[in-house]
Amino acid sequence: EDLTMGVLPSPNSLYTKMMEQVPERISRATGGAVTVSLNDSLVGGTQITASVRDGRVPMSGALHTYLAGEDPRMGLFNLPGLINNMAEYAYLCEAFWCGDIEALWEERWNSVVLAEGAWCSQALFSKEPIRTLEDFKGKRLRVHNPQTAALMEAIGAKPAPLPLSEVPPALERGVIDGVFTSTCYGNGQEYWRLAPNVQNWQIGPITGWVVIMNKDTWDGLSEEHRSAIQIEMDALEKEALYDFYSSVRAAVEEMEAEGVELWTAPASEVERVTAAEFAGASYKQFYDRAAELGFDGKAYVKKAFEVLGKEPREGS
Amino acid sequence: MNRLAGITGVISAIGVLAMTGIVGYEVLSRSLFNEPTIWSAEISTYLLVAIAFLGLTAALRGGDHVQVEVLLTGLPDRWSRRLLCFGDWLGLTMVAFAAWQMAFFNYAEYVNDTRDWGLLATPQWIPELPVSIGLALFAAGLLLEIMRKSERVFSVIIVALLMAGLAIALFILGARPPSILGTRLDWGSASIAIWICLSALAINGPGMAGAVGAALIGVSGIYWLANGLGLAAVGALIAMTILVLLVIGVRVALALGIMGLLTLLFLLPTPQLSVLAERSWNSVNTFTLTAVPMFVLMGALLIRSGVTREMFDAMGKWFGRTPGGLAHASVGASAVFAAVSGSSLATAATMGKVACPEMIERGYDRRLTYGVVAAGATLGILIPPSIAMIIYGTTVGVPVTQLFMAGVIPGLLLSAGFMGCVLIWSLLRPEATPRGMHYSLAEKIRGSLSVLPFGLIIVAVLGSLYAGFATPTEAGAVGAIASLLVCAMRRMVSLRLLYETALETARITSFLLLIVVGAAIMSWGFDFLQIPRSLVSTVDNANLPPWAVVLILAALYVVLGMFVESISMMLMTLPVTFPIIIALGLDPIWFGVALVVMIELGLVTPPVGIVLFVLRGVSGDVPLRDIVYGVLPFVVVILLFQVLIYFVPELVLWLPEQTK
Ligand code: NA
Ligand code: NA
Repeated sequence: EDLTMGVLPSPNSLYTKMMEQVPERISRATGGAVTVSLNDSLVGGTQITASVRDGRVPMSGALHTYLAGEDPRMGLFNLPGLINNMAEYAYLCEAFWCGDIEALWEERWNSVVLAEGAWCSQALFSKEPIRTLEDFKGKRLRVHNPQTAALMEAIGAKPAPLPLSEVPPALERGVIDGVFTSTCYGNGQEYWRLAPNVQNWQIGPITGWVVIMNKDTWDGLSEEHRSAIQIEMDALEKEALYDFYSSVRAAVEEMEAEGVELWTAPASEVERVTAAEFAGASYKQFYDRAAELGFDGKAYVKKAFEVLGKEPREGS
Repeated sequence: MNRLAGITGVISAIGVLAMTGIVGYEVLSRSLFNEPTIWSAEISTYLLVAIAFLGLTAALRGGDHVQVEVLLTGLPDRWSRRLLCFGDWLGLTMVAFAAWQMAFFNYAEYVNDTRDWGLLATPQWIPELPVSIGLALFAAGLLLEIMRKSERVFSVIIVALLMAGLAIALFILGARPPSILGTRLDWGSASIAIWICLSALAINGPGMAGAVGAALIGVSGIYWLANGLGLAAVGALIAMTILVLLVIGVRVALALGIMGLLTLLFLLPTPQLSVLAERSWNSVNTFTLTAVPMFVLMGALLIRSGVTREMFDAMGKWFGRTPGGLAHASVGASAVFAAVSGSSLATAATMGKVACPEMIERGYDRRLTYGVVAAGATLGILIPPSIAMIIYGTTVGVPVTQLFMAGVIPGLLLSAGFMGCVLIWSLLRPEATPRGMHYSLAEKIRGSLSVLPFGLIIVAVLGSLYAGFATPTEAGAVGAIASLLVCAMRRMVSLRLLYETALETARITSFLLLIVVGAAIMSWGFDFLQIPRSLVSTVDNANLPPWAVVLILAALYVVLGMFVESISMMLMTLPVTFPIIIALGLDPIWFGVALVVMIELGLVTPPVGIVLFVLRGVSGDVPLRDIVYGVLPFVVVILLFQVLIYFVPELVLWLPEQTK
């Protein structure tokens, strides 16, 4: 059986490196009985989850964050001040969050999660340096999730939801001043040529991805194949975690070779930007949507903070 | 029903104006007050979807959906009518499938509460609703069209009852109808096929019903058997099917859709009918495509403003006593008009009305007159802005700004080539180009003031683009508003003008984007079967030198361009040719321009050359043959130009490099 797997075109990224291993691993696990063909042109990024749900493609490498508008738990990691690095993300995942969203994937998107991973840490590529809270004021920044948009709006920046294809010409012509994206993707696309200031602000620093399979397709596989595939995919997940920082490192070094330094915001300035009066908007959005869906958003966020050994933030 | 089509037409015309306003507001608010909105891109894209699908029936009534009728002209009238009717039934089958799938898709999105990932988190069922409604009305409109063209209709009541019966059957069968005896066919698809046959029986009688039924069963059988055959066999079958569909006059967009439907039903590992809905929605729900109605509107407004005629007169004065002066002026005026128009058809319609009567009156040869105007019109899509480039850029993911830049030098060079052709013509046959009058410098300069409005608009569009006020897609709205200002300065703005241009824009957008939808459905199947990839590796393994591959592709495009409408030709071939071009290491921007030049060629080559038809339409009584003979020398110029840019790609790539 040959399964088509829809993936996002994202050259030089950790995501792509991991997706490219899926066919070989699954073929090996099943002794060639199940084969997978990657296809990066079939379905566009935002259609990738619905395509698996409805069975138009049996597998995909999808993003939670595209579903954050539908269920805010899918975008938990975007909340300002909750997660600061991959270690915290992985810990939260292990503790309860990944289990929760796997159930969500199954219930609402008819999908079985085979592996979890994350894009390289997010960076802000901008034309002018953005190094203080004040620097954000009036800057037109392309963001890709509602939580970060709410925060940007609160601190006086101008979030602009441009399609990814319009980002390079928009940066070039000054239609936008900067873009939040993964360090590896931004480096792969050479955004630093247009926006030479690369900053790590730890605002939603980690964005996850998943390898999913349509549930009906999964149920159609033999018990033996399923467990063999699951073992291989667990191994892939581990590798993605181990490779995370070396991939970020590689991207940062490539940029350094071009004379572009990654600047990391000092904790004190991150504190100012994600202060309660600003971050409150992101949290409120989370809680409001949770109320619409009928679960206690406040309790959910509180649990996440507690698992990480952090005090729930003021304003959260 | 007709009234309903009228109402949806009005809604989509209002949509065009609303979109212009919204995009214009965004540009102003962002550039003057640094206040970008978070909603304008998303809302204007939803408006585009509504314009495209609600405009379908208005476009149908206006006869805008391109079909290849001319191949049938050799047949006795009765037979060509029957074949067209037969083609309409096949097209209706495809639209009925799409409407059916879209309705269930739309409902599922409502139940799942699917949200857009953008900042508004819009529930997707709302902007999807116009797609469902538009497709259902389009199906009904096609049925009415068949009834209108039929000599006798057995019973209107029965036709209506059949339609209601189908709706009820599909509703009861639900989103996933049971399969027929465990085969890959399902009862929903069967219901549509049965409905088509019964309706054909009620409207056209047993002969047509039998023919349509036999076709549906026969084609299904062939495709069923073809599942699992080698890609060469499948590819040949697909090419044959498209050819036959086009020859019998199925509307081009629907021919592509039918091909997609067959692939989805029979060639994939399991049938994937929901792709019909997903592609209908997502291929149009694309922000970059909002530029299409904006540039169409801009041209439509300028055509009515009358400035084109004055500009042509001014050019004529400058060329004065030069041999073939007015013909040169016609090329020059076409080039200037092309700089404010995104479409070659608009350029042809305008210059055909402005230049042709003038030239004929001054005693110019008829063939030269229509030939040079036809050739000049093709510049419309090479000199920016260009709808063909917008669709190419959106499809393959190349920045439209760069494509626009890349078209400038080739556009100017090709204009010069056309002028050279005029010069040779007038030297060889001086009687074809009577001498013009002499004008004083003062007269020349005074006349040239009429070029100012064009200057204003060109500066507004390209200026806003390159000064950073606007993305490529927003520049279109700026241009439309600037054109409106030109009309206002000439005291020509009225509600009637706004309504008429907006409706025309909606119809053109609708027919163009229906082709985009058809091609998207078709290429989904191709992509799933990995047809493009296998072709690329075949080409790779053949180890042909790049020039040979390009030559083969060029020959393919020349032949296709004779028969197929330009945008469809581009979209139906890109899934295959683009990967080949990339595999050869050629530049995607270069290929964009080369492809546009091939499209230009297709616009003026018989038997299907849309520019020829447009000129035939505005000329009144000029035989198509004269237009065709007239344009042939210019066809040679275009071909030579294509060779030139292959060997000197810098002509295309230099300017975009400079502006990077
Ligand atoms: Na143009
Ligand atoms: Na042609």
